[in-house]
Amino acid sequence: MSNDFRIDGGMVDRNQPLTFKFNNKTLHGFHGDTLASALLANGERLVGRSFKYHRPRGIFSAGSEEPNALVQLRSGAYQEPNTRATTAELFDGLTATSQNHRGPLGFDVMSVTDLLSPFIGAGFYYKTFMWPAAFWEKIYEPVIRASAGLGALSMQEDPDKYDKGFLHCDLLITGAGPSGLAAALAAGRAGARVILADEDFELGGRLNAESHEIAGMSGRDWVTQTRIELSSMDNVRILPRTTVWGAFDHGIYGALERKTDHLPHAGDKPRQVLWRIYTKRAMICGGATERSIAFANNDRPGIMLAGSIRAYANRWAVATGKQVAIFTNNDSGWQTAAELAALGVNITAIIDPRDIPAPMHISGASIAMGTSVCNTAGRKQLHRITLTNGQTLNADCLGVSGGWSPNVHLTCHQRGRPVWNDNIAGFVPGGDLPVGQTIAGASNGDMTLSAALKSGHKSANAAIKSLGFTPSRAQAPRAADEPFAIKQFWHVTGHKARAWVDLQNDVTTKDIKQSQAEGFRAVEHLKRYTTLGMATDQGKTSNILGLAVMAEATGKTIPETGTTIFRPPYSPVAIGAFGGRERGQHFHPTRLTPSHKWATEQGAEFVEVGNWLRAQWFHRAGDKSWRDSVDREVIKTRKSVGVCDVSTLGKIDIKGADAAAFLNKIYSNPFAKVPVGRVRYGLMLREDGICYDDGTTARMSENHFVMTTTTANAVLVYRNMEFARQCLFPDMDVHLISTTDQWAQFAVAGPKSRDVIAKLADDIDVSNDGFPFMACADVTVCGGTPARLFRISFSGEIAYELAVPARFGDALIREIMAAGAEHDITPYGVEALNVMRIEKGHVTGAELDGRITAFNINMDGMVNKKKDSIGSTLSQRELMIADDQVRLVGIKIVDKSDTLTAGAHLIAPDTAPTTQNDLGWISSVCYSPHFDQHIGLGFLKAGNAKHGDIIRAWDGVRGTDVDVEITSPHMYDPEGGLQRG
Amino acid sequence: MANLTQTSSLNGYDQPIGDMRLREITDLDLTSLAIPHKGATKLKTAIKNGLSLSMPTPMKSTADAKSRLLMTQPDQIFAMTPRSKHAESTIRKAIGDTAYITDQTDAWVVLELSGPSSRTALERICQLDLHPDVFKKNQMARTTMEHMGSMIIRTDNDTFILMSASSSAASFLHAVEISVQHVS
Amino acid sequence: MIINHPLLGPRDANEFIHLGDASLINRPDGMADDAAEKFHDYLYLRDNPAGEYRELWYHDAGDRSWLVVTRNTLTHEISSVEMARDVARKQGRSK
Repeated sequence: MSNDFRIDGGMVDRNQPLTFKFNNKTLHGFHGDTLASALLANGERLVGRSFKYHRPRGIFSAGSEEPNALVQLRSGAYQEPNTRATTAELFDGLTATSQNHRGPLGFDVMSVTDLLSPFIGAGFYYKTFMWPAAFWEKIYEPVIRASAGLGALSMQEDPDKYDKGFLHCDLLITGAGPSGLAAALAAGRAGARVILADEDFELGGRLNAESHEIAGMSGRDWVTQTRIELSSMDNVRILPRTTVWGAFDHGIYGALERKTDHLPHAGDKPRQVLWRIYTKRAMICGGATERSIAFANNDRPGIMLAGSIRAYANRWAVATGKQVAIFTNNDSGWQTAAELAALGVNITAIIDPRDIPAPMHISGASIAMGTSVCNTAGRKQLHRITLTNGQTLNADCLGVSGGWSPNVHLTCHQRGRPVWNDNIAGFVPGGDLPVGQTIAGASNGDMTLSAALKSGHKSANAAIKSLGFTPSRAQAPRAADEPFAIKQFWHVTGHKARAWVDLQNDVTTKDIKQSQAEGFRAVEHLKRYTTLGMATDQGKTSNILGLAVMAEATGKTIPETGTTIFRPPYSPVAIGAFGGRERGQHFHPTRLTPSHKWATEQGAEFVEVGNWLRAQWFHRAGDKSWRDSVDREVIKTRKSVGVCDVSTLGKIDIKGADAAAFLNKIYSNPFAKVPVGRVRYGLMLREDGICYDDGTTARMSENHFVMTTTTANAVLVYRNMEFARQCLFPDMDVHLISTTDQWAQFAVAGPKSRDVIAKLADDIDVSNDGFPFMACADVTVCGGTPARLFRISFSGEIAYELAVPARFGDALIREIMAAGAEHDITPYGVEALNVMRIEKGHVTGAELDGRITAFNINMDGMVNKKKDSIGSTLSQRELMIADDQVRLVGIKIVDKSDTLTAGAHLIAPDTAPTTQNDLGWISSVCYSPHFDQHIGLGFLKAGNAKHGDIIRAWDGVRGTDVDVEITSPHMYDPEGGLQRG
Repeated sequence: MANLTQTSSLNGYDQPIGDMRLREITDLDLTSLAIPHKGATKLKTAIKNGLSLSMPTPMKSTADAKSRLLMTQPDQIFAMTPRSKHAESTIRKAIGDTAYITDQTDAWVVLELSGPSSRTALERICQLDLHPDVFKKNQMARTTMEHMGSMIIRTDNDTFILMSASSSAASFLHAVEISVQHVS
Repeated sequence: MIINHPLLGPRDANEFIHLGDASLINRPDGMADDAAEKFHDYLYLRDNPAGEYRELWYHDAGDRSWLVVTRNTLTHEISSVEMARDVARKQGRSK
């Protein structure tokens, strides 16, 4: 095993060795490793190429802030690009490859772009490729996109599963470091429902990376003890591997739990679960993130954050180099040096720009105070550093600490602005946190261990007290305060080579100065012009540094320069997680009609109508195309009898002493005097006078109406009626209930329909006198099954609609088919239904498109002016009922061999197809087997006076221009004698 | 002519999954009882006399071994009673004309999820807080699950009734099934 | 967002459908002489306040109640939730 850089101690389990592959090289690690720690243990330094310049890059950090070490994990369809090696848990058989290079990682042909860097600095997108304009889309952009970038998608469907879920708590604690654990103990002991979430797979946060003591034991033992106590509490839920990535209104938080990412295979379980967490209070215990210092060539593999070097040594037992140098402007860098030295790692030098006495002595290390690193050497691996005092030192690892930035992100998601704190040289939360949120520990600027434990304990007690819990008497865990002194020192000037600020987006100090020089000085401009902080790491290690460089260039202070606002997500969330399980056929619910099973047996083709699946037509032997099926269904229905499942139409039972009065308000035409046992067609207007739905409503008894709505508008009509009932007429005794799913309803239409109904219905006279057109009744069918019978017609034929409770629907359709067998009854689908209604001139959603009034569909007589119904007043506005408004007309093609298209414009003969000459449009078309030609419905200016005219249907989209004859919309049986027969 | 045969939305689905059981309930009548304007007191008495149950409140159902009443709207109650031949007539016999009665038996699919992990499974689909201190036995709510309007009732510690529209019964079952499978 | 339903307690806003200004309750009398004018104002003239706003929400995936929600459009803070039916009655609406 070649773990040359593995040292003693740490939290990896040496009894569980793991094998993995990086760029096809077999390597070894242990359970508890991240991919990054295992790579470092194996001495792998070069792990990727940078976004823009293809510079060789190595692992920079030890957490989710990682800008460099993005890899592609797994392979094939499971491939996940841009995975941070620093957070990917090692598992046996893991495969990873590096990103953004052509040829091998060590010899990337695209590194030539680095030589072009003088030409592709900040804003080059906006300047260099301006001319000629046509080149942008075809040449510049594809080339740039191909050469710059991160990982690649597999281009296969993601086989992973994702899920969503909902959690509730009194107190959500984000971050299980010292402050978070202290908070969880306090709140948990008081009995509050607590969720403790941490992005890491181990609880403890920085305690795992440090050698601190708490309450007289090692920090790590304290974490273990705390975890055991918290796990024993029913009221505490611990969510490791869970990133709280967004704070939303009213205490709602978004969190992503990585359920099976750490396993070789997910089994049939979801990879990740996106939680929506409803909280009464929330605490951010997010710690702080170390940041770098800018100096020439500070991006070489081997140059890392000093605190991360400490984490690799203490937690993962990995020495990140054989000769480690530290460059720090604060005391925490010294801590790294001391702890590494104690672990036997060779510390070559400590360089500190502060003009103070050395805080400590490190044996074997040369110490340079008041000094900085000004350049480095080593192409694929750091070899040497040069100091501002002229000294040159050999080093294969350089730890940099520019100070720590509190993780205030979640405090900003409701537009909170952080404020600058000079003592810690970082932004801390301002006063305007999201409602119910508090913040503790290092993320609130309490940078030392004792302070973090105390603030976590205290904030949690305050939060639960405000919810009515009594805090326990326990004190905050005790610990010492480690030294934390810092000098604000941001970058080393005086060297010509590039000094990197944002490693992931390849932004240098020069880019920032250029942005300033070209006038992009506001932070939001700086960000967009240079792309500083816009990469997948959102500038966690670089934003403050960039701001400081800008502040220096403009001669302002950092608070004067400001900061950009943080938005969700805190760290990247896969789109798949947002989609959850709602993929493919589960994207929306599917509604099935009661006759669905039967229709499937009958060879139906189905069509989606909203969420419904409806039979579109029924294929029969001999049908050569769908048109054959539809024509046959229409012809046989008109000649004999057909049956169609119309259960999808909205059905609303309306009951109450004021039901009739209520309907009088809802419909524009009168309903108060509809006799019991009769159906009336009704027109529903919006308050602005536009007609939005129509249907038939049957009076089953004095106080009981059954309304039908169009399939598409069922929910809207119901909602609008609830509005009228509750908000407009609150004292009416009227009650609504949707019965759409309660009833299986079949239209039986055609000259022989009466025979069929007579056979099915028990003891009812279905003669024209006994049950005339527009009659309705509660009946029983097939020997006692309760049913509703309506004599209504959408096809223009004698027709009935017969409804039974849905559980009998399958049986009823089979009985109808049996009863109609002697007349060769034909099932018909929505296409035939549509053909027959166009022939008959009935409107549907194609006509009632949100712009159409009763006047437009020649139903102005149905707006009763003697009563106040919804929409009646504004439907009478002058221009809406002017003579030149469009009117519904029938359209027949002159040359029967031509076809019509819906959407065609109607224009006069010999005029140009211009907006000025536009006379109307065609809304619905079909091939009519009855007329043996294409027909349509449409709207034509003053169309009522144009019946018989020959004009043109011009369709610029499909390139057709045909002569059409304008007719009455009621093309089939215009007198209506058939349906009344 | 022969009486029509009945089918249920999910053909009587009944499956053990992990430590849970998920099944369709088909032996209930569902009726909505709309409370007439200013008629709540009368209905309350009728329910007491006819069904031996007290009025449900907006979040709390009332139940005995056979029947359950839910408050589904401020002026609407749902009755879940043993399956009969004609739901509306059965209820009318019990409470007379003290409410506007509408058969809803066929409008809903009724599932029962039981077993120790039920609540964990429901975390994946139900956004309500089902902690037993918050959502107690007999508590009910109307809510949305996977974009489907639904009702949930806790009938026991680890037992929940889940209801949704019958036309999308298969989608609803799938949504619940997946939630159960993901945690079993 | 969370809407604290007067009867049902706090519920996620995704159970609700938003309509708009609560002044929609004040529907004019369609039979009045100046009905056209009144309806024009009722339907088309709206305040657009930066601050407290009374608006109608419908508990679509819940108990089908219409609610009047007072929400601060700047902060999303909801200061009161009332049953729209009660509000309508208080404002003199009946049948």
